[in-house]
Amino acid sequence: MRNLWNFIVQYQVILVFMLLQGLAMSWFVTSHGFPRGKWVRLALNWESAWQGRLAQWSHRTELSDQNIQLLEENARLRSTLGQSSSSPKGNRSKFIAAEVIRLTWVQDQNYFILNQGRDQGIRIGQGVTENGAAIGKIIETTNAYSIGIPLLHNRLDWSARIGQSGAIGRLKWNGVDATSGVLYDIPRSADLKPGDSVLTTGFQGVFPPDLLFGIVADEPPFFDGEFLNVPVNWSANFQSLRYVQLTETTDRKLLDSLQSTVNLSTP
Amino acid sequence: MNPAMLIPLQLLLTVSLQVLFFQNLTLWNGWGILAFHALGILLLPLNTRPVVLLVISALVGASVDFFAYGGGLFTSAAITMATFLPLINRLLAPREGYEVTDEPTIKSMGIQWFSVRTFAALSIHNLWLFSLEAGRWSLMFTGWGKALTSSLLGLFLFAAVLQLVQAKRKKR
Repeated sequence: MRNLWNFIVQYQVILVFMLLQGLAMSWFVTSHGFPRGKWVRLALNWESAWQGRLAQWSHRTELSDQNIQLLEENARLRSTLGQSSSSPKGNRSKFIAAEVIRLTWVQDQNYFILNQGRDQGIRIGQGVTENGAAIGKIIETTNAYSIGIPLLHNRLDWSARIGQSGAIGRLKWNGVDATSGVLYDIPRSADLKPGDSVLTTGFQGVFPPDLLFGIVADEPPFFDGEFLNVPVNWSANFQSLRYVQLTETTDRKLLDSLQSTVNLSTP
Repeated sequence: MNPAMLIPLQLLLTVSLQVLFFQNLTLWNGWGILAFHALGILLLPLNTRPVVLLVISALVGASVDFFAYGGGLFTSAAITMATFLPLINRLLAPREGYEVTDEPTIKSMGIQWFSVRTFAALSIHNLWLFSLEAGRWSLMFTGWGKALTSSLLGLFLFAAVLQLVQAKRKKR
C-alpha cells in the first residue's frame, strides 16, 4: 500500500495527464464524426478479431464437450445393445465412459489413469475398451480416479480367441513393440490367416466375449513345440488413447462364486 | 487587487473573450486561428505545481469546448500544452533560477523570454489541436503550417494585449 502511494506521488503528473487526456480524447472521439467513424472501425476490427478468437476457443471446448457426450452416448448404446441382445452373453455387460488423463507406453509394465473412480461406479477388475477394442483392466481405484494396466504389460496374460469360434490362446505383450503382441499356445492345426480377428473369450471375467484385441499380423507364426506363437497387431493405438469405456460384467460375482465351487471340489 | 483573486479573473476573462469573440474569428482562410484562453494559462504563476497546472488547463479547455462546441478538442490541446509548460519554464530559466516575484509577463521577464515561451507553448497547443482536427495524414502538413502561423499570430496578440495592460498600469 505504501509502495502504491509512493508510486502515485512519484508519477502524479503522468497519471493526472493520462487521466485528463483520456477523458478529453473520449469526449473528442464521441463528439466528432471523423474520429468517431475511425474509432468505430478500429474498435469493430479489434472486437471482431477478439470475438473470432473467442469463438475458436469456444468451438474447441465445444468439440471436447461433444467428444465426451459422444463417448457417454456410445457407452450407453453399448450397454443397451448388450441388454437388448437375444444372446445370453449380451446381458452380462454394461459400459461406463472415462477419459485417460495419464498414460505410459515405453516401459515394460505400463499403466494409465482415468478420470473416473469409485464414485462413478468404477471397480477393480473392470475391463477397459476403446471404440470396442479391449485395451486393459482396472487394478486400483480412488473415489475420483482409477488406475489400470493396458495390454502393454509384459507380466499379464489375456485369454484370446482367433475369430468367433477359432483356437484359444494366451495373448501377451513381448515388451518391445507398442503396436503388437503375441498369441501363445495356438495348436498347429488351427486355421488362421493374416487379418483374422483376435477376440476376447470372456473367460477371465474382465471383458465380455468377442471384443477385439487386434488382428493376426502379416508375419509367419513361429513354432514352439506342438504350438504356434502368432504375432498380433493391437487394434487400439496406445500412444493416442484418450476416451475409453469400462465394461462391467454384471454377473461376475455369480460366476466367481461358481468358479470357487469348482476349485473347492478339485481334488 | 489581491493576486489570489486576479488569477481566476484573468482565466475567466480570457475564456470569455475566446468563447464570445476569438472563437468566431478566422483569418487568412484558416491560417490564423486564435486560442486566446491559452493566455490565461500562460499567465499562471511560474511556481504553480504541474498537477495544478494540468487541472486548471483542463478546466479552461473544457470551458471553451463546452461553450464553443469544441467537443474536447481544446481540452486535449490545453492539457498537452500544460504538460510541457513546466519543461519550457525550466529550459528558459535564468542561471540563478526564478525569483519569487517573477511573473510570466513581458514586464517581468522581458520580451525575448516571453516570446520564446509563448511561441513554444502555443506551438505545442496548436500542433496538437490541428493534428487532432485533421485526423488524416493527407491534411496533416497543412494543419501543422496553420498551427505555426496561428502560433505567431497568437504571440503578437498576447504581446500586444500585455503591453496595453502594462501600459495602463504604468499610467496609474
